[in-house]
Amino acid sequence: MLIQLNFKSGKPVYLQLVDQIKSAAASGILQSGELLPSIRPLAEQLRINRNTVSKAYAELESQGVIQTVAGKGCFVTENNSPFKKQVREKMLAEDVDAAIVQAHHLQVDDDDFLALVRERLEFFKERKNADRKP
Amino acid sequence: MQTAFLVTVAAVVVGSFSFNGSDASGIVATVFCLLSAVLSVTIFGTEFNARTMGLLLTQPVSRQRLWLEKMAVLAVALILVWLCMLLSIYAIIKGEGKPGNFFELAGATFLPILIAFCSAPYFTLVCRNFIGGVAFTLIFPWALFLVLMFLAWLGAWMTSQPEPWFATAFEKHPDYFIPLLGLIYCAVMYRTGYRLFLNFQEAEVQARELSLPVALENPLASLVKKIVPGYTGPMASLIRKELQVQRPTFIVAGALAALIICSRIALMVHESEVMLGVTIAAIAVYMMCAPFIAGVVSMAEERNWGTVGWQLTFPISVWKQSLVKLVVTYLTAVFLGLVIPLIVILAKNSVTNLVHGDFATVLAVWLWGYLPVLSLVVFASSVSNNTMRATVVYFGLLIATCGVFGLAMLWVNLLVPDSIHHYPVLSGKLYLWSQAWNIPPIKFWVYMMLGVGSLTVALVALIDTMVLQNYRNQEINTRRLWIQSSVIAVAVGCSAAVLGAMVVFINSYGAVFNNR
Amino acid sequence: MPTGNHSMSNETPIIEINHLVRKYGRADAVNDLSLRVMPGKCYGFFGRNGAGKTTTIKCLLNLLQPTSGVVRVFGLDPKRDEVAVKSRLAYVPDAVAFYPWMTVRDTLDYMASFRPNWNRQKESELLERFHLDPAKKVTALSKGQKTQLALVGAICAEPELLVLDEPTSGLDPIVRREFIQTVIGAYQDAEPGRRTVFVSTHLITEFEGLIDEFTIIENGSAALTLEADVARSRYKKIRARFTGAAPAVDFPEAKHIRREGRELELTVNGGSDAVLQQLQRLNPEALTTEALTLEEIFVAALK
Repeated sequence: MLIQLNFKSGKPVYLQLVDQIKSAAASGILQSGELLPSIRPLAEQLRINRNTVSKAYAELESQGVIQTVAGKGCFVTENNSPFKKQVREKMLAEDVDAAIVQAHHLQVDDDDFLALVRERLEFFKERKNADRKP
Repeated sequence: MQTAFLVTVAAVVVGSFSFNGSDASGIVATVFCLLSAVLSVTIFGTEFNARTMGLLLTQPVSRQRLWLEKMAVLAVALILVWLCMLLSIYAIIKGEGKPGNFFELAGATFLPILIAFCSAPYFTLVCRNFIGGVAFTLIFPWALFLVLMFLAWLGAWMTSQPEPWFATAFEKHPDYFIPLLGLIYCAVMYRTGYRLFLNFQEAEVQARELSLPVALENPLASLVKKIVPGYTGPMASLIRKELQVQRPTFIVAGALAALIICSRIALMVHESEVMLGVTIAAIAVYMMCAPFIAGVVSMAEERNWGTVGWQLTFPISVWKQSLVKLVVTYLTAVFLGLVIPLIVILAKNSVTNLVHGDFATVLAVWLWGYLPVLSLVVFASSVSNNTMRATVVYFGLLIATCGVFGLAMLWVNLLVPDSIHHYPVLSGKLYLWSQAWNIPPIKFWVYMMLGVGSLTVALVALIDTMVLQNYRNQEINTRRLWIQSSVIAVAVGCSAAVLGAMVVFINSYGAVFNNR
Repeated sequence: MPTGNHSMSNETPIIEINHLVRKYGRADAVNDLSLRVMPGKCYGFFGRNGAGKTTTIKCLLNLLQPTSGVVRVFGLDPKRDEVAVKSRLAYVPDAVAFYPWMTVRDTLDYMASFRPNWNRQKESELLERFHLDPAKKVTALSKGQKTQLALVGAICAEPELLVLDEPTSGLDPIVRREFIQTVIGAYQDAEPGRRTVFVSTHLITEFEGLIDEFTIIENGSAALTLEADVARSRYKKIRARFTGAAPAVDFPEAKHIRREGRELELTVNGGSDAVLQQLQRLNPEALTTEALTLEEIFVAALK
């Protein structure tokens, strides 16, 4: 799991960690029951304070995203949180926003934009079908 | 370098004022020779200490030119000091202190400064250490001379000649041979130094500490490990560290001791005036070097390395640290410079013999004077960032003290006019005094030692209190330095003058008593 | 001046400096500095050269004594309880120097002899991690290796407070990273409350992730004291692009304003909403907001 911290985002570091781990758990990058890296190596790798990591883990645990098993470490919880789909769609929404802004800059109007989206969805569907055929 | 120059000039002038008695000019000349060695080492020594050697070598000037410029400055400085010395001796020293043959003195002192001029740069570049540079400059020619003598004797012995031709010639005309050998040595050293500077590598630009070649060092280190405690507890660690800091003292003392032993052996094998002169001079230098080097490295070297700040943050009280440092320094200096020579002397003479002889007063002055002088060196070290500066400060302080002493004695002698040239210090009338007061000489000697000893201890305590304060403060406050130095110079100078006055008064009383 | 939110129980601060004044020649004086470091925090001490950082640290270690003001470490007076204070802290100086005759092994043994709870195991781990040869003479070490050795010595002493003075200046990027990783890893390997770090540096980017709270010292006194997260959320850079020339309007809430052709750049400390509203009324073509890193905050605070 690759965590990217951005000190220019204005968001507290521990919250960035919390959000990224939540997204990773939601989008399947982190699977249910998977072991998270322990505090010390993660702090060393990201070169942040250990307190920050433990604060993030504490927050995740209080939100039910992870649970600590004594002596073994922190695991992603098993239950299928209803927030998963919402989180996924939220992630996508950011990319969609970026595309909309780009469209505006390139002076592509709304109808043409939606037509383009449908065209690209068709293209990927056909390619997936083509791959499936022996 | 300017400070060293000024200190040397001041030394010869003040020395001429302060010393009286038959050996006055000899003492001034010896001091002059030592200081010219120091001066010659500072030419390149400052560059190493201030870490500007690298900068110097990258200047857009050819190395020949750099060398010539430096040597020209040194030559001018040395000639000026030499002329000052001659002038001071001529003009200031009066009476029996005046040298017999003035031109002989001039010639005799010219050779040492020529040697210093030619060889000090080379040794400084090789050792990259101030003490090493001075030690080598002073010791190497003698060691070489001894080796030559040994080879000559060996050659003669092997060819079974009763009196080898050059030995007779040498004995009869040392005035020709010694300068000749000296000139050859100077030429060789100058050229070697010049070549070394031309090829001086960037990698060697850092100053180095004085240490033995690796082959010698390892067995010695394992020997030391057995005698001295390892880094087990804090006090043991400190003691071990301080002894290591004192390494240059042990090394130079060892080299000088070897020189003395070899000269002594040479004397036993073949009597010669020159060899006797060499031996005595070597002994004198040894006795002066031990306290000097021990004191100078005690604090200045640590400041030079930059470890003082780090050391002061260790969880052991600063007071304990400085105390251990002082104790080890004093013990080393006393052991090397006092105890060992004393043992050697006592091996030949019993105490009673000593007390009766002329040598007794010299011994007394040396014993009494040793600790305060050592304290002066330690003080100089405590206010300096490197050994070179410590040396200059020490000599400056010594000059100031001698100046105070000289002035005070001048005043004393105004009160007792006719003993102005009869300093009994050097005429050994100790036994006369004990006779005059009907006390057995040994008892008298012991009383004197205790009495003067307490004065010595008081002076040492005064100086060391200041030293302890200075050690804790890493930065050297100039104003405080001047105040402390003045206090010390006045205290030591006046104490010496009080003793001198006592001696003068006793002597005149004793003369009166003896004339009854 | 905004101070951080000290949501404390009744813990004694590890370091407490109140109105410290220290006259020191012409440069590097400290003039009414106050700060407080709570246990377990990693505290940054930033400032320009000659602002008073080294003098302050020397007062903490009793290498210098304050002209006036109060300095307390672990609640103790560094002058009166000198040994008690020094036995609980370790110091890595900016100019690392060792005794030239010692090897790496000798230096560590020397340091260990003064520390009753020296951690031998950590020592061998760290030596291996840094690839330091114990038999090598310290004079043969590079500057980076010397700093590493000093850090090993400091960490193996198991101190409650680690004082670092410009620890990574002059080191190559790999060594710098390892240094910080070691501080995080080997040093903070105990109860958080007993592992405080006080680092004085101007390589702020390196320590960005590590710092919980910081003080910027300027001209001898504290110019800014904030928690890192709070600082990053407050300080923002707002950029606006206009269709015509950028309007020469005054923004009282902004700390700095820069105009260049059609673009306007403002640095704000906390008043970003008001400024954004003001800007939007001017109809910019584009409007972006960006938070600042600690280094940029440092520059903004001192300009």
